[in-house]
Amino acid sequence: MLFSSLSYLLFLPVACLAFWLLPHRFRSTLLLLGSYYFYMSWIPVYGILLFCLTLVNYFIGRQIYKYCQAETGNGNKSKTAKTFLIAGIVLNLATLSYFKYTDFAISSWNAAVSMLSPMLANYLSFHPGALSFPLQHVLLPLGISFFVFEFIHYITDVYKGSKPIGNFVNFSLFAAFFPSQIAGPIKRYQDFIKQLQVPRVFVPARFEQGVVLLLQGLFKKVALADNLSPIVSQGFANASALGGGEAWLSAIAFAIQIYCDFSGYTDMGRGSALLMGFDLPDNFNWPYMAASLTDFWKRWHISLSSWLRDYLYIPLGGSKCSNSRRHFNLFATMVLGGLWHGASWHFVVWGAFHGLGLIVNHSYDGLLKKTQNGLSGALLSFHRSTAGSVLSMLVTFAFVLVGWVFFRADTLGGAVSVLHAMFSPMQTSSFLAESLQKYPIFAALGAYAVYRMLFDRGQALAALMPAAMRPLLPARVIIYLSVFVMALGLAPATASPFIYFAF
Amino acid sequence: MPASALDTQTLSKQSDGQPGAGAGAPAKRQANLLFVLAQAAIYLVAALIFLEAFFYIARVGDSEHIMPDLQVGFKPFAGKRITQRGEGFGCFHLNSFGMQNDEISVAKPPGVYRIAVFGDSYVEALQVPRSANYITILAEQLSKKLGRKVQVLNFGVSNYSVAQDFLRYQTVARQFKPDMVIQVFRVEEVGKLLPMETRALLFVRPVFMVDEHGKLVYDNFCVREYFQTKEGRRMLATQWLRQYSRIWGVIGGLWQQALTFQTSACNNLTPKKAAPSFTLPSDQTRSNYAKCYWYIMDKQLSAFKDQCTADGAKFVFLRTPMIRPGMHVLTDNETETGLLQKTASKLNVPVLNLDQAYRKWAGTKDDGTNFSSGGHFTARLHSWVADNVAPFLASYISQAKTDAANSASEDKSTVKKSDNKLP
Repeated sequence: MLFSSLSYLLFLPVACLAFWLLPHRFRSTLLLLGSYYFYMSWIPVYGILLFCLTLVNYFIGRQIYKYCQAETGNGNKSKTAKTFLIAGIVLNLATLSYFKYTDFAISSWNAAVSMLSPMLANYLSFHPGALSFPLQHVLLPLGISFFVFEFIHYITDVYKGSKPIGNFVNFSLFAAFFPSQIAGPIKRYQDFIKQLQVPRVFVPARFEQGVVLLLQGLFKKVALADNLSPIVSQGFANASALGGGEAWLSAIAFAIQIYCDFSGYTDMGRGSALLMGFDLPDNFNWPYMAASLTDFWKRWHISLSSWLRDYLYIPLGGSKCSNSRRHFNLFATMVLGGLWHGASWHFVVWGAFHGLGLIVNHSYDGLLKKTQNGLSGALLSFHRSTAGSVLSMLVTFAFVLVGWVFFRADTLGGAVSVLHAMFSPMQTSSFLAESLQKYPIFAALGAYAVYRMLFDRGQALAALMPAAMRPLLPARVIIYLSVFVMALGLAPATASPFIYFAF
Repeated sequence: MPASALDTQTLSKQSDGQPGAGAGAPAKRQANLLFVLAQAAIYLVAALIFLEAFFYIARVGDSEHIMPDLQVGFKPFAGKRITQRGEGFGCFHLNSFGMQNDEISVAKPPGVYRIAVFGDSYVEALQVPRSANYITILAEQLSKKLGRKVQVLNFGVSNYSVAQDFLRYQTVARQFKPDMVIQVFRVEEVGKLLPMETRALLFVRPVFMVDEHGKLVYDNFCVREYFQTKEGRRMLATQWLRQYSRIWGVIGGLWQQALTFQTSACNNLTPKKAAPSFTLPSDQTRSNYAKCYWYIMDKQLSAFKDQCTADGAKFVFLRTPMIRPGMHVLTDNETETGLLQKTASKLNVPVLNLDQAYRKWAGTKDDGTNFSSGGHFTARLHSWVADNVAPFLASYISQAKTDAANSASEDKSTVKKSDNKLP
């Protein structure tokens, strides 16, 4: 069930209404049932997978807590607790790997065998096809990357000393909560359970804020991302014949598309949760305004970045080690982060590209801080100036843009073709002319720009309005309906699935 | 509107601050309520104006282009701007006669040769810019070839049958006094011969039957019945909005989606026996069906041709490449082609069949020549059709002119001879 689908438009109000009508003690069960219905409306059998993983992780969490309580005399954690933790992490990663990486591993193996075939010619002539394996075509369960990360976070935190969730229904809901189930944000159980335990109180202002977030997300998804999707697809499908202008256009269109798609999803998820009084963490904070790559990762997919920091980068040694080791940790974290996004080499390259970028970024920062000469002082003051900030933003955006080419391209070769076109300005093409005309993308971008302007200066504008014209509830309902109709009016005939559903 | 401006607490305080608000007296409460309603009304009007303007600029909500018509079943809105985004992209105003043409005078300017082309959506060509459809290109090419101004008028309407084309000729096209009428065939024409009960406007058609004396009988029972249905009444009641409101266009689209969703949900919940529908399951059945009912088509074409001849217009059949919608492969329906050829010979009407030429040019796949979702022609195929039709028509028109001149001179000499014979 897509957040932007008609089914969800019917499901959400029913779930909301039932939630507020029921007494507190039944609400978790209701949300759990609703979440499983939401999840199983796609492929019902994967609901069983989610349930089994939930059950196993709940058990592991309790065992870890039990054995941690019975600490050994010298204050160290019990070995059994550690064994349970490792078993839990391995089990979660193995499940993720099976569903996500089986075919990737097989196809990479087959490619390696075919590359080595001249050396293996003798063997292969007697055993043709012996070293190659057929692809399994395993269908990736929706949201598995997200809930597996939540489980790992849970058992790790319990091992570190946090109290486990005592109620199985609440634990199941933590993993299955429909507003964040499919594409995050990756929640922290301590924040979520606190909200489950305190009875939610209906606050009209928060409910309205939820509606606004839902509408904002819907607009970003259907009016912006979905209209950009065919332009991006067309551009990347013709990678080898793209002209310079159209290659840049395709890359920029993808940068906007992926932001609107993913942040639109997050807005809708957060909005849906807020309708029932729950707060979910925000995932984005104007990422393309980042002044450095480090800053970018503090603004883009924040819940994943912080997860990677807490459960990968820091366990690897983090920054409290030698420079070279720190760089290795950064690089490994980003490569694995890239691989988490998709089972393909171009995602690995994207992660490595960002890893290298972060290493350069950290080294440059370190150099500026360490050296106290005139040049570093001048550079520091330049970075603090407006021109310096703008230049930093542009350079960061350009870097991120090049990274997006690796991310979006279907293959590494395709990415190289688009990048080649981007840096061959004399090449021309006209693949996108019709699409640019066909999809009302400029109208949607214009409308969204106006909306952001009004949104950000809302209080000031409201203050300027005559008192009688400041909108009361019925007028506000009309405004919301108008935004809804506008978003759906701009939506193309065929909706695209959310990009992050594939991860 | 700014969401942060919508701070409910501030706003409720603010409403309390209105004169008379917050007091317990009924009169004050009433005044407060009136104020809220008045404000909502102002916002509603402002929102409607804003959305209409925005959708107009964004070219959104323009896709509906037909209205119910008792005589013809349905016809295009006259003068409406249409934006089509489903396949390709097209944005144009239909002219004041509801034609996919620039505005055109009824009176034929001196020296102008007029050709009226009839057919379905493949002639109407909403998927490409008007300048790129074969009707426009044909006019340009023929004007060049013949050395005189040729106007090609587009009377194509989505999903029209030959019967509807004939009716459109009588009700709209005839007044333009065309010198030539082209009836375009594709592949679905025999399927439109029989009356069909439907709730979808695009399928509401009158039909011509053949009575026991071999005469055509006009029957619009299905159209009249449609007008009585809930859907028909809704269409008629909302006609003004459908023609002029972009917001309605957007909401209408959503409504259709909701209905489809509801229908599929109901079918899933309570699976029922599917309603009878008109489908031809195999090419063999299609062939048998065509043979069985062709006599109606034959009669219609004969009547159409007779009418055109009586009006002084030549009648021509054009068979454009036959891509069956949604199947993306060439449909080789030889039966229909053979039957059409037979009718043409009987009526002494020339036929240009582009099917074989298309196969030679594009192969059996439709890569780049048709929009994949519905098989409509891309600009490339429109251009190809025009390139192939123009020489045929140019030579036919020239030949007809020569024949006419010869027969005129023969007539003259006959008259002279007979004059000589006179005492």
